Amino acid sequence: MLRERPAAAAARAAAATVSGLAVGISEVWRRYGPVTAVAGVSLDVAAGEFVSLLGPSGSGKTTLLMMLAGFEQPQSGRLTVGERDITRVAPNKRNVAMVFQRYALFPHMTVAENIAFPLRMRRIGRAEREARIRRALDMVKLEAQAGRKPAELSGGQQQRVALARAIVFEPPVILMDEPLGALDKKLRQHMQIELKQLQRRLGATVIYVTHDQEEALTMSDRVAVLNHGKLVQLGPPRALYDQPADAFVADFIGEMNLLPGTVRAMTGELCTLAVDGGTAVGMAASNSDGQLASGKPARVAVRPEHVELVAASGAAQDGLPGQLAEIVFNGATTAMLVELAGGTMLRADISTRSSLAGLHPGSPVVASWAAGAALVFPGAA
Amino acid sequence: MTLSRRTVLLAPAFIAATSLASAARADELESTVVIRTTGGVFEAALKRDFFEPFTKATGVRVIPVAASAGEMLAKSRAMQESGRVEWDIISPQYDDLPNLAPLLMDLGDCTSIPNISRDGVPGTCGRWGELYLTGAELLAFNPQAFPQRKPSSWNDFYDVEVFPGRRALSNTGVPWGMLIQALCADGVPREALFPLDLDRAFRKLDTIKPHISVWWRTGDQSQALMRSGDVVMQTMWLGRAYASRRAGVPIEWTFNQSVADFGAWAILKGAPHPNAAKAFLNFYMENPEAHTAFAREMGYTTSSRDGQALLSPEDKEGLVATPETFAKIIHIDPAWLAANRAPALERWNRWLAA
Amino acid sequence: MSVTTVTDLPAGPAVPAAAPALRGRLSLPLSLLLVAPLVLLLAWAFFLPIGRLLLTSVTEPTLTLTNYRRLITQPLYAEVILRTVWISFACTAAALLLGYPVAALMARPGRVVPKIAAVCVMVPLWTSVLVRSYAWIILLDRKGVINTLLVQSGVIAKPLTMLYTDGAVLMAMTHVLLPFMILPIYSSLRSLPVDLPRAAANLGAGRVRVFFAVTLPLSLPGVFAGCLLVFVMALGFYVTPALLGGPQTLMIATLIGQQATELLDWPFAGAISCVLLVLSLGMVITFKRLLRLDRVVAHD
Repeated sequence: MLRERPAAAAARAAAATVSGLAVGISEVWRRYGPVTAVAGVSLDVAAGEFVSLLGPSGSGKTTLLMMLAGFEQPQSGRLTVGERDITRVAPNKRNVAMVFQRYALFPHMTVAENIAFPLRMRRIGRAEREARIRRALDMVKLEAQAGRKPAELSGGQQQRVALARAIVFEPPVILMDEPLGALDKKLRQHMQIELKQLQRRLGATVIYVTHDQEEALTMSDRVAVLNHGKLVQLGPPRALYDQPADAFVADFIGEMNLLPGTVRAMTGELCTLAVDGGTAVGMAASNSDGQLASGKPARVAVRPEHVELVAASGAAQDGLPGQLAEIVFNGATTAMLVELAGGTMLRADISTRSSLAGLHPGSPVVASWAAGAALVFPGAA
Repeated sequence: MTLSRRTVLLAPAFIAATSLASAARADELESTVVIRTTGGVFEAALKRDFFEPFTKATGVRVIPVAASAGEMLAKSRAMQESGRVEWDIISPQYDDLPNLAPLLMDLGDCTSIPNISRDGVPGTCGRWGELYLTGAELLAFNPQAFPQRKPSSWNDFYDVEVFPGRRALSNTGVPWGMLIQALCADGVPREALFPLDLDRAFRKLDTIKPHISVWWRTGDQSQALMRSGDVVMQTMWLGRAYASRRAGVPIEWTFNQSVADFGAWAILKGAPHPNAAKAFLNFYMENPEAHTAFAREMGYTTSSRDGQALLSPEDKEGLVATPETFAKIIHIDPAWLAANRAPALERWNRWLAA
Repeated sequence: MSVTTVTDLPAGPAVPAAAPALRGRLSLPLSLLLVAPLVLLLAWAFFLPIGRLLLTSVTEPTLTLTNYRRLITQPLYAEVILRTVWISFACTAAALLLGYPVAALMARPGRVVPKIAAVCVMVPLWTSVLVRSYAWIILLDRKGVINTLLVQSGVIAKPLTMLYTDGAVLMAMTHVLLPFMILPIYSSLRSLPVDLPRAAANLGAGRVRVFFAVTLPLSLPGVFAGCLLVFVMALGFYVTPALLGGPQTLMIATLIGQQATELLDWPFAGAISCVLLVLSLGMVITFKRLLRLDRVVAHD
């Protein structure tokens, strides 16, 4: 399946022709003793693009960001901003802004002084400086707090100051290291939207590190998923969601049922598997090249919203038989947790309005889905 | 445990009994006596020549306590003020005895210490103490630096044209010797020294100050200066000069215009073991051979006439051991010192630090 | 994620941005009980004798201010106090200049270098001042290690006079007091989040500007504490000036010692001590005020 890749390439090419390449990461390696933190990552970010580096802790995403900021050195590979090679450039000469997880506001300076800092470093004249600070404060709605010290501000306000300080000198690229990680959920969601709007308004290029896949999907133009220092998949959120490159991405992004089984038959791309006493179908994943053959172990990945449930009729039915274990009301949808015959749990999200009447915990059910809605990855878990 | 329970229980009764007995017999010896020393080799020599023989002869145990001169005076005074005197015998400057009289037991004409009149050099009985050793602060020099003519007085020390070379004076907080030396160098006859003319002394000192390379702070340091050849002449304590000579350092000294560095044994007023203390003062004058041994080793002669007589002619020459040498030594007037100590020291400090 | 369980709800309230450190609180009676032994010890072994000494300075021989009048009218004392303050000040400045880089080295991330630096700072603390002062004598003597090296290597023809000078005292005092400068600065540098200098560099500040704009101002509480410690301790220094100083290096503690042991003039010694005490307390108050100003700056 090659659907995702040409699309991403086209988007990238389009962005590049409009405003050029903003950041280039090519074949970057970083090892710490026996541990490889970043293993040959290559990634191009177009100007104005919002790209998230997503992965679990230890996946290398933060190391990659620190290398872009200049606080870590790659052992090999090349980093560019625009046309400029910054691989060996000192952090203060990179002209790349960074928003830190804990904001890193200077506690001995007022909000205005914090924001003035990068302008002073660039010897921008007083009048121009004042004007820019006012604009930045206005943009993050903190005009009233200009004279306060960071310790007198709330977490969200501090976050906005950090943002204002990063955008005020109009850097070509803004790096963000889990900038919303320290906020509570509600404020975080609010700030996600605010941040995204701000980025659009400024047309800023943002590289955003997060371990929160929801946040990455919400905000990014493209998401780079990292695992064990490798770039596993790069693409728009929708492509990642619909066409995960491997079982890791499938599992990491969104809700996913990953059911282990054995391949029974291959018909072109269509794969039939034996799973937990039943039969499941799915399309072979794009990188499974020939590894799916009859008798081989595999996993089928299907999103809960694609699973259909019917009450077991007693007659032979296609699908996976099981018993409804629990019904969880989630608002618009209702999660049905099914214990399959072999003991594996399967989740189905059913529209609450159409939720199946008459089913209750203990009811025998059969789960199935359209073959095109599921992906089959080779290998056991 | 060598002490049995019964002994411990009986101890207070025993002490009570002995104190009753001492009340009955005022001259009975106590079992210990506490004597202040300067510690180090001095204490070792005292132990060997006097403390241990004293214990052997009388059964009184000597407890030596090391303290610097300053600590000795400060502690003696503190003990007196708090009413808890723990020491028996201290060893202050002989010439300072009258000024310390309030702290010390009055020995009168020393009839209670009969050995003094038997063997003591003239002046051994100092009313508030017993002369114990005789040294001097004097002009010491390296004879190799002066092959033609050796310095023989403080005039020569102050004459940097005829006697060139690096010189040292002392910075120990006790400037009296140097004030006297300066006046001698300026031609004041010894009978006319006191009261010291401080203005004149400091004027003379001003002339030599730029030529002083080192202001030594300890006796050890003064020896090191001679040993290393760092200075060619300096003011020095006899004991230190003598020790340098014994160690093979080229050094000579003159008693001309030297200033007394005499030590005394003195019993503190309210001493806890007064009888043993007096007995020690008497025993000190008992054995001339001990004095000879002590003088040869330490470079300080003692107050024993017979002990001095036993010294070799060479030692007699170098030490304060003949009536002629004895007569050359200048003594500080205690009355002048008592009246002028603080302001003179203030002035000295200021002059030195300027 | 694979099948979610019911409990996989949004994460609980995130840690607030500036979570205040948890500070243990003890009840007042318990706190008083805990400090009581120290207070009693200080009262008995420190305040009582000091108080008595200071009292004698105005009550002996009679109720009088003579002792203080003497302090003022005799120029020696003003000169020595001034010199003591000057030497203490120079010593503080030297300790700051030498100590700050060491503290910075110790606060660096990493294992080996900071550990070695820490050992180098701590070991002298366990050695007596006397021993360290004698070590300087061996180094600085005319026939000492440094002169021997310099003369033998032909750098100088005649040995330099280094011992018994103000310079020797300053050097040795700085050496002895250095740990008291380094440790507070180290502590304040350690509590400085590594993100702050990084942020400054990221925003365009070179090493020097990062230091002066961020690191230095945020380590000021440690700098003040170190300066205060060193200055006040230097004011009362006795052994080192006595051993290494020349005739000019007369410090106030030496004068107090002279009055107490040579002249047995305790009331006057008390009066000089009182001046030293007032000087030290004055410094403490001044620095405390500086620190209070700094509290606004503190990164909590």
